[in-house]
Amino acid sequence: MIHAINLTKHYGDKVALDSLDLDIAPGEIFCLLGQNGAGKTTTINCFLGFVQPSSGQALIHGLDVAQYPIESKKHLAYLPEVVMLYPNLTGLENLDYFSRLAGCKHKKEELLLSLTTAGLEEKDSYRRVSEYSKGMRQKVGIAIALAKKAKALFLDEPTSGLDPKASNDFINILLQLRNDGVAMLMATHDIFRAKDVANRIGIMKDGRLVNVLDNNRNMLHAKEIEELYLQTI
Amino acid sequence: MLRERRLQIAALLLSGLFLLSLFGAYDYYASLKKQHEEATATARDQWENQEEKNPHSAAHYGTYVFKPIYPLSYFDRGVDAFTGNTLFLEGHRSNQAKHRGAEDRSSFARLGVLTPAFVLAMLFPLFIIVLGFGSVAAERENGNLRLLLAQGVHPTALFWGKSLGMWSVVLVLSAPFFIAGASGLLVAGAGGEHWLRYLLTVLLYLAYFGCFIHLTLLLSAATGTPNASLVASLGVWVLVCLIAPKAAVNVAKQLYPTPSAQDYKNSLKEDLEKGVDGHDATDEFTKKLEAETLKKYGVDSVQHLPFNWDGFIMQKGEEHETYVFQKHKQRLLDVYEKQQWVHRAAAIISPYMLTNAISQRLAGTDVVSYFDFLAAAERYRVKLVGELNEDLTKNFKYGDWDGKRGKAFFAQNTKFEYSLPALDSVMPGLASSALAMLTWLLVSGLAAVFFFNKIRPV
Repeated sequence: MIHAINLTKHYGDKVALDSLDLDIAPGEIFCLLGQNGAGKTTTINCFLGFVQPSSGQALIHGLDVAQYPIESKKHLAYLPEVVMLYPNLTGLENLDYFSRLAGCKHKKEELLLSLTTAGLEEKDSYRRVSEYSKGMRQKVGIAIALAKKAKALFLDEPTSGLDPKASNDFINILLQLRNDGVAMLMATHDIFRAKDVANRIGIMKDGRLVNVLDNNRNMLHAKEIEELYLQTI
Repeated sequence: MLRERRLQIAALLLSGLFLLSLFGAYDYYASLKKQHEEATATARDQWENQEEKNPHSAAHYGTYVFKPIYPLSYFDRGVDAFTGNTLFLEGHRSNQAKHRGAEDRSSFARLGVLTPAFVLAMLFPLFIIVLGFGSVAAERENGNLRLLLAQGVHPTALFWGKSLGMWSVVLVLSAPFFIAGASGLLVAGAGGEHWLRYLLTVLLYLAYFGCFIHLTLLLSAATGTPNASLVASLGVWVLVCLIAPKAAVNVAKQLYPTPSAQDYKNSLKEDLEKGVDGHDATDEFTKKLEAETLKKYGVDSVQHLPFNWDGFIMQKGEEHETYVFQKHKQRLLDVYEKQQWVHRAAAIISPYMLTNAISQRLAGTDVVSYFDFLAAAERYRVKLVGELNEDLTKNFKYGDWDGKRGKAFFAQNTKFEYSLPALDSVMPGLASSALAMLTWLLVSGLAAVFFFNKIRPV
């Protein structure tokens, strides 16, 4: 579903992403660990078409992103670290607006369902986003992804700045999506959360995917991952 | 967007300004219109009821004509404030217009008068910039753009959406004023053609707004940050609305300098002396004409001519003077014409200048309309003085300077009638400017779409 073939990005002499090969199947969560500047966000940007790869291919549902920038986005959803939204609109209006941009017109009940599934209380849906906390905005972001019913989900440090309860709720939603067969690529610094949800964990350094750990039966211990992470970087 | 505080304040400010300008302008128009009607009536009254006198003395007595105040001039006053609208007509000379509005004002007037046209053309673009400078740049900065584009919206659709959003605010805000302008026209009791002019004016300003909407969106998409976008947009505004018009005037004057008033008078005087002077019997040209005329009629003195020699020689002098004035004015007009040409050419780089030019022409307050009025007034002067001299020639005896004419005669003298040149005659001259305006609208739109398609949210 999420497929990178020899994906490379140079900025002048600097290599931001070095021959990345990656294949994430439906119903699989792949977590990317690594320091800032290791290439996690560049990887995601390549899949979103925001960065033109120097060589190699990024494929979503078999579609080359560089070649089909609009079509490939029909199959993906994206959750950034900070979901800003439009502060003068309510949560519901924001969701409606972003869904329409994706070309889907949902009924109000469907939109509200997405929001409650994402963990936002119904009364909050009618309040303006300017009054929201970061966690609440993040929930609208998840609702946007849910409403799109995408088969591939990209998450860029989605749990940073969330309180433990919100973070836990969020992880549960990811697990639910995994059961629904969504392929997910998540860049994160949170080793514990990664251990909880990931099928595989990749560690990046200087644009290269150095280590890939199998966590399919949730058999890894956080301590092991942390040690390996520290050795790698 | 309407919930945004910044826009609420800007909209309020602009509304106040606009209503003020509309009120002030209409008040000005109404009072000037009244003044004009009264003055026209008074001038004619003075002419008809002047003391009984010899017809040629009446030519010296002279009369006033006034440039009509058109209904749309309250909307766009154009150059009226600077050119003056009162002309004194008399025998032997062709005068300059007097009573310039700008003369009784401080130097503040040079900034431009607070007419609706000024607010729409000069200040409204600032509102558009405030409205739109962040439309892409701010969303790039806060990350919304990433989410937006990840949703799979086509960049061109994004452009249409953004411009539609801006249009809705621009229309909501400008519509009441266009309606207010129309009610001004209603109160003025303007005829059908003025409504057509007004409709074209409204369309013109909408196209002008469109240009600024496109430019603002273009710069918002092309620059990285809201700050850069704001600075770039304001830079374009300064260039288009302030620098380009001033530069055009200066370049035009450099290329085709206007002769100084002193030079103009001197060369005029020189040429005037090279012909018949009706008031100087010793003048060599007069003597030559006298000899020729006597020979033609086979008589030995002017007393025996079948017409009044005094009237004849006055008219001959008038004709010469008119010819000389025409020649020199034409020379001046040619210079102005060339300067105008430079303005028109320069206007291509500035939608502000294009808008001004078209708007003033539609309102009948531009330089060309002014010259048209001057030409009509001069034709009238020649005709009136001709009538007076003809009367002197045919109906008075030679040397009869005591013979007088009274009200019965003066009342049947030709009247000055001038109205706005028909729209049909104005339209062809506007075609190239209108075309340039549409090109601006289209090209800026295409350029904006191009830059929207190049947007990278990182």
